[in-house]
Parts: sequence; C-alpha cells; structure tokens
Amino acid sequence: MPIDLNRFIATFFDEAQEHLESIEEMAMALDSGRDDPELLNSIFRAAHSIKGGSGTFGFTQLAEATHEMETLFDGLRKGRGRADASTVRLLLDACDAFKGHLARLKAGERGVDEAMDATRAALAGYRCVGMAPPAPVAEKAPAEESFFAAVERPAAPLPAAEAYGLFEAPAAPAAPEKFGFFEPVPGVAGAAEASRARSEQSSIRVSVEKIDRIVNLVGELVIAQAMMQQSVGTLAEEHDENLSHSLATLDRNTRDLQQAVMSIRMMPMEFVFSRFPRLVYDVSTKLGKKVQLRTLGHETELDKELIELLIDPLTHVVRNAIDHGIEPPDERRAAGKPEQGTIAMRATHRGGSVIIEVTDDGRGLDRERIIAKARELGMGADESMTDEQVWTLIFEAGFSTAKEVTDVSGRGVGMDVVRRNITSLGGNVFVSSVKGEGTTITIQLPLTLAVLDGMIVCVGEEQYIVPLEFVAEAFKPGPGDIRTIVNQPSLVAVRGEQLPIVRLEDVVQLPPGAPDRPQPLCLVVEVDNRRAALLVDSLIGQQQLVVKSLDSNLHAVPGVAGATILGDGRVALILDVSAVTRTYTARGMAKAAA
Amino acid sequence: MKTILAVDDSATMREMVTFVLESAGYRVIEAEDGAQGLDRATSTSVDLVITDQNMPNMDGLTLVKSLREMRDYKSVPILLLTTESSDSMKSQGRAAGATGWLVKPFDPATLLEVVQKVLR
Repeated sequence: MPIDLNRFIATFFDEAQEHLESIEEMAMALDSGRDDPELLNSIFRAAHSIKGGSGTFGFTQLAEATHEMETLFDGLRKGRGRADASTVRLLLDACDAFKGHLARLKAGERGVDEAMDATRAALAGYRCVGMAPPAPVAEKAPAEESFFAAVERPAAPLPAAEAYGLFEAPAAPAAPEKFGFFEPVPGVAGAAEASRARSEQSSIRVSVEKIDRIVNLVGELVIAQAMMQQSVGTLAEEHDENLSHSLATLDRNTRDLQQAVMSIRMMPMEFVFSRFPRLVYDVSTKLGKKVQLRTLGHETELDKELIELLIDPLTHVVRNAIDHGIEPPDERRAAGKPEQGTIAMRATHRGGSVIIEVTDDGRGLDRERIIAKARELGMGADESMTDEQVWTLIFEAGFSTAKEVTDVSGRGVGMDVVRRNITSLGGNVFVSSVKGEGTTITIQLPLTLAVLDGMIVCVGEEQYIVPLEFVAEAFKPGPGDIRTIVNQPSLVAVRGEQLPIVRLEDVVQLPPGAPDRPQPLCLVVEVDNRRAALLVDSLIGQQQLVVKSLDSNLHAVPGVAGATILGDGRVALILDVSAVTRTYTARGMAKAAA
Repeated sequence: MKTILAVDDSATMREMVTFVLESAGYRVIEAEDGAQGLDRATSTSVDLVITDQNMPNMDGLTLVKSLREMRDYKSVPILLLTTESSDSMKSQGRAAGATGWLVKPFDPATLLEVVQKVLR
C-alpha cells in the first residue's frame, strides 16, 4: 500500500513539539520541590510518545535519545533515585537539543546531529541523587525497523511473526468467542452507523493558507455586499419590500459569516503563555533570583497573526520585570517580602480589545531616578509631572535607568521597541507602578488585524480611514480656537488643553491652492499617550472595514497602515495614526522654525 | 462496514492507523486515552478495538479489562499496540483479555493483515 509519509510527519512534528513543551513545563515543576509521582509518569509518557513516533519515521537519533530519557524516568518513577535541580537542567538542555533536532528534521536534514549524540550520552550517563551507580542496562531502543524502511523495501518488512501475535490459548473472559466469528449482528451495524454523528472527531487540521484564502474571500464578499447595499438599498426600501428584506438578510448573514470565519483564525493565549515558564526559569536562575510565574486567561483568544507578533514584545516585558523589577532574595527579605517574587501574566477580553497585563511584585519604578535620567537625556522632565507622565518616559528611545547593563535586558532598547511594536499592531501600552510594591505593564491589542472599525474622513476629493480606537472626539473649532505660535506647530484649544494640529492635507500632500473647501473639522486622536488634533474637511461616518495590506504590492508608505475598499467601490487608505502624529507634529515644528 | 476504535494518545499514531484502515474501507473512530476509549466504546458499537498500552488517564491493559467486563465486548477482538513484545507484556495482555498484540512501529501491510485476520 503506497503511503505518503508527509501526510503524518507534520502531525508528528506538532505532537513532538507539544510533548517537548510539556516536558519542559513538568521539568520546572520538578524543581519546585513537589514530589509528585504523576509528574514523573507524565514525563515518562511524553518521552515514550516521542520515541514511538520517531521510530515510526526512522528518526533514529531522536528515538534513541528519548529512549534514554524514558529509561531515566522509568527509574525515577519506580523510586530509583530522586530528581533535583541538576535533573531539571539535564531535561531542559535535552529539550533544547531535541527542538533543534526537530527543526533540522523539519527542514529535511537527515544527517547525523552531533548535539543529539551528546544529549543521548548525557541522558544515558546521568545519575540522580540516590540512584545506584552501576548503570541500569539501557535497553536497545526498539526503533530499528522504521516505517520508512518498510515502505521503501516492501519485500522485507518486519518479520510478520514478530510484528504481531494472536493469543492462541484463549484468555479467560474472552474464551468461547475467541476465534474471530464476528458476523455483525443485524442492527448492531446500523446502530454503529447511527451513532456516527455523535462520535465524530471533534477537530480537524486545516492549513493556514486555506483559512487565509477563506478570510480573503469573505472580505471580498463583505465589500460586494456593502456595494450592493449602497447601490440598491435606498431604492429597495422605497420601492420593493421583498428586495429590501432580502438585502437585510444578506447583510446579517454576511456579517455572521465574517465573524464565524474570523473566529477560525483565533488562537488561545495558551500559545503565548506556554513559552514563558521556561524563559522565567532561565532568566531568574541566571540572575540568582527566585521568581514564580502565574498565568491567567489561557483561553482568551486572539488572532493568530497577532499571537505571533505579540511574543517578542511580551518577552521583553517579562525579561525586564525579572531583571529590573524583582529584587534579589536578600533584598526582598530585608523589605519584608517573600524571597520568591511573582510575575503574573493575565489576558482578558474587554470590548473589541484584548488586554494583556504583566504584573511583578518587585521594587516598582523609581520616580526620582527616571526624572533625573530623563533630564540627563535632555527630555524635559520635572517634579511637577504626574506619576503617569513619568512612567511614560520609560518608553522613550535610549531610556534605561538600570545601573549596569546586563546581558538579560540589554541596553534600554527594550521598552521603546515594545511600544513601537504594539502601536504598529494598532494597540497601546500603559504602565502603572507603586514604589516597593511592583509594576504592571498593560498591553491593549485589537482582536484581529483583518477587520477594523474605522472613521471615514474626507479631505478634498479623497476619503481616508482613521481607526476608531484612536479617535477621542470630533468638533468644529471656532474662529479663535486655532493659534499659531512661532517655532511651534499650530495649536487648538480643547477644553483648556492645547493640542498640536496635524493637517491631513499635509499628510496626504494635497496640492496647494485646492478648491474652496468647507470649514475644517478637528478629530482629536490619541496614540502612545500623545494627543493631537487631525484637521479634516468632513466626517462621512463609521464603518467596519476589511483591511487590505499594501506591503505585498507597494513598499511601506509612511503614514499609511493599509487600504480598504469602501461600499461605493472606491479604495481608501487607512492612516497610521501613530506615525502621522509623530511625523507631522514634529514637521510642523520644523516648518514653523524654518 | 466494520467499525474500528483506535485508541492512542499520540495524534500521529491515530492519524496513521485511521488513514491505513479507512483506505482499506473500514470506518474508524478515535479516542485519545483509555478513558475516552471506554466512553466511545460504550456509546458506539465497535467491531474491533486497537489500543495503545502507555496512555494517560487509563492505560491499554486497564481498558482491555474494562471492556471485557462489558456484555457487548466479551467477544469483540482487541489488539494491543505496544513498543515491546516481551513475554511479560504478552502474559499481561493475555490475562487482561486482549486478542493479540502488534509491535510499534508497524508497517501498514502488517496492520491490515492482523486486522483482516481478527475480523474474518
């Protein structure tokens, strides 16, 4: 029977990866001093599973090394020896080697991996506390004959007699019927058929490309539906009740379909959180700190794309929290805190956003030091600033108050990159802190990058989209509200607050001397803790929009985050509000200075 | 159409067993561990059970014993998938009431051969 092995290899890689992650997680639990036989059993089983699969696909090195791991844990679960910190290290290092090896296998490399030989030897030679010095004779991994070999050499598979066996002497309970008279009783088969629906598998694996194609098609459908609504909607309402009714149904179904399709792309935060126990373990061990990690909201769902882009910034935040937030054990003891610090990661849904909080119970931000540092860097900071304003300074480029640079958190390139990454995803970062009690970094992200609630605005002939999450309010400024100051961008007063003005016509480079235009409107936008007033001609309205990426066809255009197709079929650009306000408030200053 | 219950905690193994058997015209239902296997076997009529030995929640031998205690499963063939074919494994399997054993890794032809043999 010809079988394409690739059909199963992907599943095996996923499964092995999952097993390795769970081994890592369980390894770290071993170190917490918990003497849990089920833990040893589970590690044994995970190693056993990887071994089984590797054998099937002819991944001999992996099969042999996991066999050693299995043997070690078989001994441990049977009470031969006790796991300690060195066991944890051994396991974590082994998992690293296995992951590296899996990556090679995935890439199609089938050569000898020396790291795997070393790992196998380390596992085989390892003796736990209380383990008898003579090595328990390691059984040969029974994975010599691979599935590969069997497929490639059909003439010589495993000798059939050894590959399986039927118990000749009938076992007691099965005795009389043992010999295989299994004519299906009429009705039984029917029952089996009938209950099929009940016992269907609960999930299937589908490639991301297929899903993205559906997402795209549904996007087109939404646009087509909006166009139809726009062209015949009013007409139908006035003249044709049936058509109007059908349009409403189509509208509702399209929306439901879009939501259902988007939900396929959603993945639980578990995928992000699962990476952090290892990170926290490694970083805190390296720094000689004791840190426990708590994660909450594993089931909170987020778009797959965002999940991937979230990992880097979150890693930065957590490293920072361990390095700069959590104090060394003696300092914590002196402060009357438990020696072990806690980092809590928590993900929740709030409205159309996902909120991810990283809280540490460390020393908190040092207001005085941040202000001093900001002054040193010429950032203009003083004692009158609110805490909130002071904390925001840590997101500025080049900012780091750590007394010495460590190789863990780096050189203060961290938090500004974190903020830039998050705002480029349409999100926001906030920080709150109490001295001596700890710090919380809050990351707010949209649920998905594929759909967006936008405000459609008009400048000249063109329409643009401002993502709704950045819009605070809109108003029509009176004649005296806008002030021009030398060497400064123009300002507009909003309830006593002076906001810098960004003219959208400058951003989109509308030709000067454009025809007479209506009195402009002010759209107050808020991004990166910065507020600005965007001057536009008029507001068209709010709409949910399907985001089309420009990157694949054009280079990244500054100030433009993407494009969408409006109900009338016109293309409108989506503004990158963060970049626009940053660039044009600064340019306003430069222009005024010139 | 004969229905086969494949019990294995490894998705790879389940996928392979299912593919091979479905290609040969059997209907396959899957379970991820012994407990789920017992559950599936209770709610569905099954003509053959193929189970892994080493699984969380309930291992293969316990599943075999539990199935044999059920009236509907006194005579349904049960194959034990195992990585070793030692005598102690065989005697345990036999004592539990399994019909036979199959060593992992196996090739598709062997799996089909043993399945056809016990289902004949």
